[in-house]
Amino acid sequence: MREREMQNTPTSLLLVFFIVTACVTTVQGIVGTLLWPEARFGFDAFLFPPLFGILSVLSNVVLISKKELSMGQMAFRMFLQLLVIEVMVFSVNILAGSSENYTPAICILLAGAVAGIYGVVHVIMWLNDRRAAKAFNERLRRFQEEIQ
Amino acid sequence: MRVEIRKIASKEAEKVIIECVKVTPQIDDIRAFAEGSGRELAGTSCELTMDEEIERHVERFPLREVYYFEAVDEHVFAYTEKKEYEIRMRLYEIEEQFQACHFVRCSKSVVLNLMKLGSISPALNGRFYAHMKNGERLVISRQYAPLIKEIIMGV
Repeated sequence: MREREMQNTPTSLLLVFFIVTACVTTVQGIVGTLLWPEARFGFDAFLFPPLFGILSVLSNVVLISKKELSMGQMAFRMFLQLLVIEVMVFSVNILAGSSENYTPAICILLAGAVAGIYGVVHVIMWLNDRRAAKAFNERLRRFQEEIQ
Repeated sequence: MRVEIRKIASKEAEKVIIECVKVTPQIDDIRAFAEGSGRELAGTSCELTMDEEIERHVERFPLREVYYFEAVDEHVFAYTEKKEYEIRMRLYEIEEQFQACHFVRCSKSVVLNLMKLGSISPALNGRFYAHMKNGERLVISRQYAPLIKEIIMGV
């Protein structure tokens, strides 16, 4: 039973990875085209979006708890997770040496973009859950009618 | 399937015997219905008297009237529409024994009755809210959501 209970977690983590990778690629493309249209990169630039995707998945450690978290506690942990992702993104940029030209305005833009992507990931997951809940509720009614 | 009913004198001796070649899902359903429809639990309910003292009563109540079981600090409570009872069972025992009666674990501390579940709605981070038919709202944790979906959706 334990294995069945846990089987959805890798799927949702994979979903987070792909959504983050897609969003980072999109945001990098838009922001880069607007701010540094003359910039050219090597093939190593392709590795950054999936790297951020992996870091986002790893940041899920913040949400792990032995106790059942209340909704308020979960919201707080999610805020902490966002902070962890922000720190990781800025650390990667500093380590990669791409932060040399960063002005405060660019830093705010980057932090906002990270928060935006984080929000988009959770909105997409919520919409997916809403669709699943709707199908579940329809089937639940039939299930209860069949039994009664 | 032939159905045979024999009248007996004692209520305590009432039982259902199923004779079958193979235990199919339909047989399981009949068994779950037979087990659940007549099953009763004993629990302690608390009432506040006129002198503001707590009076405890041991009462029997039908399992089918339970909306959910909750573990709170080593104590397990059964919640019906109007009353709550403390019962002498562990949550994992409830989960195992009443699985056939459509009781399923929805979080580390709650086992809910699927027959009393009104609907679900999405909450934060892969969790769901379980809206019970009595208006109460429980949380279905991310860990147990796939199991409940599997029971209802069959996938």
